[in-house]
Amino acid sequence: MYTDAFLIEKDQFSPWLEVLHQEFRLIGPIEENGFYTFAEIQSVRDLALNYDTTMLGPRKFIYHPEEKICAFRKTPEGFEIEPLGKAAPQILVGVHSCDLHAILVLDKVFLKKGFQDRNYRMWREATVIMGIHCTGVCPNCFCASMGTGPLFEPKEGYDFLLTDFGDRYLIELLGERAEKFILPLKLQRATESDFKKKQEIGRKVENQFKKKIDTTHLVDIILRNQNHPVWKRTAEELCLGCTNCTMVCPTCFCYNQKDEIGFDLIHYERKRYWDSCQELHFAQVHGGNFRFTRMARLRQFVTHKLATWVEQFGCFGCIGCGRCMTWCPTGIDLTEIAKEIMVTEQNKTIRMSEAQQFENG
Amino acid sequence: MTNLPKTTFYETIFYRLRRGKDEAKRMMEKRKFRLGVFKYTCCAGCEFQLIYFQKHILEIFQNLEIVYFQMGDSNGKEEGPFDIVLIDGAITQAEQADQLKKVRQAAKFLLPIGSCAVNGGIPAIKNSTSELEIEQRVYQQIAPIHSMKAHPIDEYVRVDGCIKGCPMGEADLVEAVTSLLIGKQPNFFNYSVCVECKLKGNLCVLVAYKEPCMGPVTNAGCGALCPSYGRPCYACWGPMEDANAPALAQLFEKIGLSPDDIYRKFTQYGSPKSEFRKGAELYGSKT
Ligand code: SF4
Ligand code: SF4
Ligand code: SF4
Ligand code: SF4
Ligand code: SF4
Repeated sequence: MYTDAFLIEKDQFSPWLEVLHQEFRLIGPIEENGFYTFAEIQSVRDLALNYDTTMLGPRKFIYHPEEKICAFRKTPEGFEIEPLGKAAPQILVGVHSCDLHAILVLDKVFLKKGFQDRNYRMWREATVIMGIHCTGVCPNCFCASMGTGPLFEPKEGYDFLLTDFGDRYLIELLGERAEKFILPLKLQRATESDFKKKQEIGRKVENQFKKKIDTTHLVDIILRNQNHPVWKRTAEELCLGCTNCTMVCPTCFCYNQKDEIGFDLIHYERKRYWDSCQELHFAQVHGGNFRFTRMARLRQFVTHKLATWVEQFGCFGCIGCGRCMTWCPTGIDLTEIAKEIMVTEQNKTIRMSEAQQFENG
Repeated sequence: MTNLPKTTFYETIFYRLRRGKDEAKRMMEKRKFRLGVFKYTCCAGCEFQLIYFQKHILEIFQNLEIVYFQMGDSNGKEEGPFDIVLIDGAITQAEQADQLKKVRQAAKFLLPIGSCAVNGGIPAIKNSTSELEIEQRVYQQIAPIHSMKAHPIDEYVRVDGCIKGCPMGEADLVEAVTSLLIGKQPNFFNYSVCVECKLKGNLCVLVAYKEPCMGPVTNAGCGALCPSYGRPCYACWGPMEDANAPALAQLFEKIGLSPDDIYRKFTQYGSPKSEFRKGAELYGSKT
């Protein structure tokens, strides 16, 4: 695949986006009531590319919170079904490394061989993605621990990747689509020293993380401790079952469907919307509910993100963005849960080795 | 099957399986559903809401025959029989409970509409004060008053679903009536207001501004109306199933609400419901 890298002056960058804006919906971070949020942008001037984090990730513009998926009509013979929705060409500007990884994770879910999700694919293909490297960290993010940042390493999942050099950006390109867009600009090609500078920025950010988690044995530790007291205690004392954690998590993919009945009782529309395992009825099936307790539901979220995802998709379900703990009303933090379990395990090992020494001694 | 009028294969199978011969027949004859609307203790807002909805869901009402609806037509038949009965208001008198039981027996489907009927609602605010004190505050002569504590409908009779809201929400009403008309189980909202709030992409006022939002314990259906305007939810839809009210009540204490305020938050719209009582009782007395 085509790759290249250039330098683009910030003075040149905005007018270029304006030109693209004539052809595309432009989506990026803007400031609203003192918080940043991804939104459709009217003018490039509104873009806040130095944003820290957003409540909902850019996921919502590819895998929509609510979406009509088909319409069906009762006919004398049965039903006629017609898929709904058409993707609009759009550019997602300013996607951080963690969220770029989150999109790669969603690709694994929705673009699996043999099980392609029509609507996801449609929007994914219509979206030009322009990533940007973070220049600082948030109190709750820990991408360095999850291997998803601060620099975005994979050579897939984006069209452009920006690194802020102060008065200009290093702009890395991936794919023919990106080349076509940038060609008219006649930019200066990036050199070895520019890449060194990028690495340096990455290292500087990496040293700032406040939140860390050791992932070496994480999967086993979580799976071994499904009956640890931390689950029940957190679920009873703190967890509201409100679903905010999973709603803001950029890799959560679960959805529910609802048929909207037309007033004529002949036309129907099927819509899907984000669902959450924190919701009581999520696990309601014929004959009962297999996650009837709040404890089982909270444990499902954390276990899925930090353990079972690995077997399912070959990567962690958590990309370390810190959103779930930030937007959980009671501040439930999955890294703290994992750490509490780790401490118990360590104590157990210490006790065991002490016992052994005692026996040997 | 042979002696039934001609109909589609799907329709016949579907209705036979789901609702038996009766419904299949109704569908084929295009017989209208017989509707009853009963009102107990409430502000009658939900009935107005029904009259108001009627305007934009006229097509649905064409499938209904109004058999009893005191507010819309005073010549109704109280004894039914009914296909669908909607009940507005809480039970606060013994006679209401007696009539309710009769209505249940005459109804195929019975659904409470609005917070008063579903959860006790506003009338149940009085439940935390003694009856005598309440009556003395309101009436000069209390001799003719035979009031009891406010109870939701499902404490007296079985219900076939709830149309929540104060006043009731249009989405749930439409879902219930259209579902019953085509013979399927209604798909009610059964999660927290937070779900709708996040689907809308609202900034969370509880986390961002420490506003005491009841969204995490309140049943969805309103489309997160209040948070969409930057205001905290005050739980007019009533509790969601399995809500963790104590955890939220304790959070409210941390963000600076007084015990009285917390008590009021959890008794304003659904005090008879155990989900909310668990939160209220941590901060107030039980009478
Ligand atoms: S956001 Fe927090 S309180 Fe709500 S369901 Fe998730 S962990 Fe529980
Ligand atoms: S689990 Fe939490 S920290 Fe991890 S990706 Fe999801 S929202 Fe971010
Ligand atoms: S954490 Fe829950 S909502 Fe998220 S993907 Fe896993 S099961 Fe689905
Ligand atoms: S504003 Fe209220 S309803 Fe919305 S997510 Fe926050 S707590 Fe839930
Ligand atoms: S947000 Fe809460 S108070 Fe407002 S309408 Fe909805 S349920 Fe009622």
